[in-house]
Amino acid sequence: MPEDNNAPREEANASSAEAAKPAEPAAKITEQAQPAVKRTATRRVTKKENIAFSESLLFGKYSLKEVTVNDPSLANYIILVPKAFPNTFGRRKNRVYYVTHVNIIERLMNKLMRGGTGQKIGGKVIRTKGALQGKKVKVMHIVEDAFEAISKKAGKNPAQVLVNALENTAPIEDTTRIRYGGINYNVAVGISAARRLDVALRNMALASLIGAFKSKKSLADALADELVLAANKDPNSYAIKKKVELERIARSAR
Amino acid sequence: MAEEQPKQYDGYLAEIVEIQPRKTGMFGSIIQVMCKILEGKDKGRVIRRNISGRAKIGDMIRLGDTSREDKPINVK
Repeated sequence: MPEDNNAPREEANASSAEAAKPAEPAAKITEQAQPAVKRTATRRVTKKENIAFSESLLFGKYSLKEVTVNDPSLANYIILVPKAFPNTFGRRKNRVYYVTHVNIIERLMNKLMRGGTGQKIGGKVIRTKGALQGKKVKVMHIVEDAFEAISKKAGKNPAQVLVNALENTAPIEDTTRIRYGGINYNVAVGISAARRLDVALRNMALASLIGAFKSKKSLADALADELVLAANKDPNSYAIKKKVELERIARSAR
Repeated sequence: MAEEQPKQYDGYLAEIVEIQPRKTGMFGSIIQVMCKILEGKDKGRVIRRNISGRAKIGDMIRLGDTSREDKPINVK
């Protein structure tokens, strides 16, 4: 081991010319071998794997360049800059327009890092007792598993499924209270593009927590089910139910 | 002619042209904007609307209906 570390330059110069030639077959091998090797604790990133990640495929598998956003109102806020592991380590937090710099898949992860539903659903508040709070790597594995399940189930690029689901579940109208002369009125208001995306992402995270609670489903499977349902505009999806309810109340309060 | 095509998403697309400096709502969470309608019957009209959430000039929003217009904010 120490011999390798002491003399890296000579090997690197000699091997760089050689390594350039067998790059294509090597990349194919790593793609097949990845899932088995990936989770081991003491793993070194080899040179072959670096070549595979240099194309910046999401999790080394899915390309973000093919993904298209059809809704022009959300297009400015759905960020799809190619990254292998989308993580900014909270550097953008509390900036004014941090939303326009952070990758959409990282934002989904951030919404999943929560200690429960925070509101009553079916008479009870679901609590995960700190199982996910502050554990970004754990959540990253959950999202990776969910994306694998989606690509098997739907046969599409899972990032495209996520974008379609967000477009279908972003609400248009909301209600607020406004006070005129001592009496409160509920008034319908529009929703800005940034907030539409926030609400849609939050409902996705809530739906996966509810689906996995007291059932054999894992959190990743529940997330995958919800995303596929929402992308197909299925009325059984939790997020679509929420959206329809919000808009129905707002329509009556115009 | 554009109305005959089946719409992919609900509502009518509109672009934010101007943002009023005052805020409303019980907790000051609502802002008032002038937006230009890009779809439907009232295409090209500029109307005043209340919206919730963060917004800047050039953003696109979707409106449930384009017929009604909100009152301007009166500050005493």
